[in-house]
Amino acid sequence: MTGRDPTEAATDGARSDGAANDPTADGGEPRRPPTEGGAPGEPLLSVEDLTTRFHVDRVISAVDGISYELRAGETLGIVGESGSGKSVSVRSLVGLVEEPGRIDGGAVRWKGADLVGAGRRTLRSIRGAEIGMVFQNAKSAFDPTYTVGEQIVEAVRAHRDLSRRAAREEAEGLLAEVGLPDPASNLDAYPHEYSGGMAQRAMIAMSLAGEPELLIADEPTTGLDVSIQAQIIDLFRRLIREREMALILISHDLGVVSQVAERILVMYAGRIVERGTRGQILESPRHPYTRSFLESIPDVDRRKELSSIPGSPPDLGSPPSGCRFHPRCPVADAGLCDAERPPPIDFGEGHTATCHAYTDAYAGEADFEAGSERGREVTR
Amino acid sequence: MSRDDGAGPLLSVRDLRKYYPVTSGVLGRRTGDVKAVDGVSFELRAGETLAVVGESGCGKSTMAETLIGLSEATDGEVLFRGSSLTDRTDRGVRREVQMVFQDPFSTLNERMTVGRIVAEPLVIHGERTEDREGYVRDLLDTVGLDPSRFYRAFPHELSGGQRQRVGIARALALNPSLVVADEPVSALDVSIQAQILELLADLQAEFGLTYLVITHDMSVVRQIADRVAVMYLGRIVELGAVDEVFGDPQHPYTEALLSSVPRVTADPTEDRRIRLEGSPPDPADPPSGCNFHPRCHLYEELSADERARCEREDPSSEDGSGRCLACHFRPGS
Repeated sequence: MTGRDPTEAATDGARSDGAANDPTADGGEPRRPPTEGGAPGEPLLSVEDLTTRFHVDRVISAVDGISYELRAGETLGIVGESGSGKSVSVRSLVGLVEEPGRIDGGAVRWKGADLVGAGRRTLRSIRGAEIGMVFQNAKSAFDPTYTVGEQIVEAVRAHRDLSRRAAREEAEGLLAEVGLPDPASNLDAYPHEYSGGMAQRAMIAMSLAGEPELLIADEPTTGLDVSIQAQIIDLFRRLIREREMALILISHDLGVVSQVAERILVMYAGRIVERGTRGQILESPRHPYTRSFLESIPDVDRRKELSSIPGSPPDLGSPPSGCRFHPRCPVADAGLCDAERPPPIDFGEGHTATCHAYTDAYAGEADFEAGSERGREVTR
Repeated sequence: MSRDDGAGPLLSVRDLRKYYPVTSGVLGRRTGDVKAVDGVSFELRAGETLAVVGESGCGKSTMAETLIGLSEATDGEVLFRGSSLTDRTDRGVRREVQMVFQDPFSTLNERMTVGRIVAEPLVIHGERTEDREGYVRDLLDTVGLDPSRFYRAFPHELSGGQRQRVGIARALALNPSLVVADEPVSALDVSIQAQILELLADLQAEFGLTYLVITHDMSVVRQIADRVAVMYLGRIVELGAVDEVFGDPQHPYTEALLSSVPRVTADPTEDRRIRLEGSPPDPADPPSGCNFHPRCHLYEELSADERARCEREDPSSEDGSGRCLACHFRPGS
């Protein structure tokens, strides 16, 4: 590999087996028949109670017991603000969390095989081959001293036994597939000759080199002009349709996520607070954070009454007790929300929110009890 | 919401230009110009908010810097209440115009306390020598920062939103009439962004401020601006009331830009969007004629003769009237 493959930065043995994972922690995906979306049978990816912490002078609880599943061909969006743990959570999946970060608990299974305990070589062969990765700021992900073509050819040859000539043809085909004009001459250009949008396309092309079944894209449109963002969104849609890939798209921008992902996880302070289909999350949000978040997003099509969320996201070195959103929550119940971790509430058809306001113990001001608003507490 | 008292405009920008020389060879011969700002004209009425929107490289930030005199104009005139702003000797006028920057993290001196940062413009201008601390504490309170907690704090102790509040307090210290804000909420999370947009609106109502907001974010424009100027390659291509420009865009670039914004939607459809192909061109080597024609969806539908006109003739409107300022075929004749 001549290129400075971002996946090379991985450190091995980042897992601490010593720290016991609390099996009672919530965040568990409520049991449901494996029929919704995607293919039936075994999930492609299964994440269970994943807990990632950074051990600096204190312990930063970046990802705190999250669980989800992804089936072949599914598109999943993970949305949250800075510090929500969305990026660390996906880096944890493929061994890209570096010291002082450690996976302190939980399991990640890729087609049934454990990834948390997997060795460096296994992870590296899965990354880039079965799981492709795309990051923000593609330009800096390429090695400036080699042409883009040399780097993509290396990526192709790393995963497939091809001659240099055949690999170059393959690389040309990949650049054409992601919509870069004049692939042959663009292969011979250096990264600095690329615009931001072209570099992002080239990085997507490189991520396809191993013909992945899952593409993980972390803030892939952040920092790009809006016209280029729209082009990249179109490209993702086409690629997942044509290649029948699964996609995990991480973004702070709910607009970008909703344009591509059929299911959405909303993260706050290291936990999943709500999950559901795009329609469920956008049209009937249940968690107070999701509701406030939606109301704080300006709408290009009309001026609206924005409501901001008071305060700032918490310091994850000393996260709030109970529900991590309670200090900013407009309907928190003192004595409950600051004391106990909220249970997942099932609203049917895979839609859940972890919030006390839907439980019998809640005595706060939220009027979430009435009629169809009332969910069913998941019994574990 | 704009107020027009019948008096003249607060700010009047006429044919503003900022060119950077392009040199080549070891002798550094000037072989051309990058026309970063290429003949921009507009007026700003007291109490209104004008947003300047465009993609990277369109010249919007250079325009703002040139306008307030941070960077010397190549040509053109900027009049503030009738006095020249580009004349860098006139401190009295220039203090009336203050700036809020994009990245509060990079613009605050890390070794100064918040109190000192906010007081700095007062020190420079020798103002409020009596009870400066009390005045600064009031300013912090005005921008929503508890003075007892923040006056002696250092920038590294603050969140992004709090830092931007400090930046705004500093801009208000000299009691300006006009605040030029360059991407004031771009570095902030959306929930914090909403707080700052709310603060800017409250301050405008309280102090009768006039805002010139530079942003790439069309949703922010919709939320805070009364009027909007859309820039492409150093020029304003459309200028008008936000509701009109966004509701019924005339210039094909405005239309395509609005169409590109990724909406939060439960039902995304690919088909109704107008594609904006390619990237913005290199300002050092702009296309001939209408500099937007290589990316224009309208151009695609024109006849050969009409296309030739787009390729040859500069569409900039001579009289500067009307909303769409730079298209041969819009509004339709």
